[in-house]
Amino acid sequence: MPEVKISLRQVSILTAMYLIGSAILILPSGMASMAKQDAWIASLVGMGFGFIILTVQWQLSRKYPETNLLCLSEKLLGKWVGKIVNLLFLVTLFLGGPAPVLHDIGLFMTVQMLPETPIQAIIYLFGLLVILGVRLGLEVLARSAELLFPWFLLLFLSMSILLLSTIKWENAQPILETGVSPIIQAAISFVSIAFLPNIVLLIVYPGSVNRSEDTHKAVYIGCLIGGLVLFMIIALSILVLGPEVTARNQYPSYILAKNINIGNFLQRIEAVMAVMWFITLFFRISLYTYAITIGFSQIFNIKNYQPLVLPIGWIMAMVSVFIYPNVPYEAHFNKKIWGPYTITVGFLFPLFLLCLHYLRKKRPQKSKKSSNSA
Amino acid sequence: MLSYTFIAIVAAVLTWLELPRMRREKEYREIWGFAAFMLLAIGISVAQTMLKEIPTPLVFITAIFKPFSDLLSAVGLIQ
Repeated sequence: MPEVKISLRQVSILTAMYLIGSAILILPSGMASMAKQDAWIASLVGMGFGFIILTVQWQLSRKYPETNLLCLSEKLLGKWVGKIVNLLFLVTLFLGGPAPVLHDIGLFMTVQMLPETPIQAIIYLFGLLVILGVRLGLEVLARSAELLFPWFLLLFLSMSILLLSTIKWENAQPILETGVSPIIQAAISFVSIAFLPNIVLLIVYPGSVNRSEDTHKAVYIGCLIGGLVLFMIIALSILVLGPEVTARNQYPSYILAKNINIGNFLQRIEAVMAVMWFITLFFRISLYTYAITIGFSQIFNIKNYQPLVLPIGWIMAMVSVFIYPNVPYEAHFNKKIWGPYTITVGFLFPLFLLCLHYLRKKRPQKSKKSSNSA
Repeated sequence: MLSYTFIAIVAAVLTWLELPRMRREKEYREIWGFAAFMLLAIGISVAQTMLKEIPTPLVFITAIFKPFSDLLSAVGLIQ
């Protein structure tokens, strides 16, 4: 496998892109349906939760720098148990991660922009792009993220500024009407879509960053940028569209872009704005696929991951066509199952490994070995 | 019939893209991994062509995480 080294700046940008990912499309609707006009508070609470989770994840990684999550679980759980856990983790992540996100972009295009095109056409084309990116490797992905990030920021900031004149502050009132419990629920939905899948970054980054002792700082910065972008999108959907319209629409941020109207002259620029989420969704799917591919190559002791990219990408494109039979199933899955699943793999799993690390340190015989390797 | 031909063409093209380089560099483990995932991909594609309604694999994740989901919604952490 070719040696990969990316800089800390690229780590921050990739993390921000990964975090924004599909959340920018699907998050505002679900959160507005739970917390109504307080969804923006829920996103701030969610960011608080998210940074606690990030601390747990990266605390584990900092104990074993240069070792990624899968090697680490093999080391802590023993070789065969570790391999089985890793296999289950990767298979479920594959079914829950890249395939549904690829389905999301296809669904978005067929619902909003190209209604007469079959969803397969969009999924296969976008999947081909992802396969190309993953095949070329992390370094290429990081550099293209660096190139595309200013465009993303330009689109995002211009959309926010152009929407300022349509803000109605009454939409956010009365504050805290629904009580605390819906806010917690919405915050957990925020965390489960935006922050908990960051466990994938523990597979991607260790061993491929040039200053590995500062990786966690770069990840925190990236998550802060991404979290602020999501907060602004959610706040804008609440303030401009109102909680009911936000909750009723499948893609509120697209409706938001439709609302841009400066003097009846600058309007209907939503297709330009849609480029924004093509960029972020591309990096989300690519990082998922990259992590899964290097994960599988590690489980089977394959040194070069590149030959696996084409078949895995093919499987991904095929599976993502039938991963959600219909839209209500998707809503049900995201609401009921995706949350518990990501809490398990994104929070409980690293927490368990961290506890195991401390236990191993305390036990006298094995302590020398593990503390040496740490 | 057309879709089977298409699957065969895609499989042939992907093998043609990858196999010569792996054989030249004597990466035999890579060849085995590539073949295994390739067979899986061909199997899924053929199944998708043959069956009109293919059940989603997410039912497995749903079945495993249903109790945990019920617990969380009883506590009130998810809706």
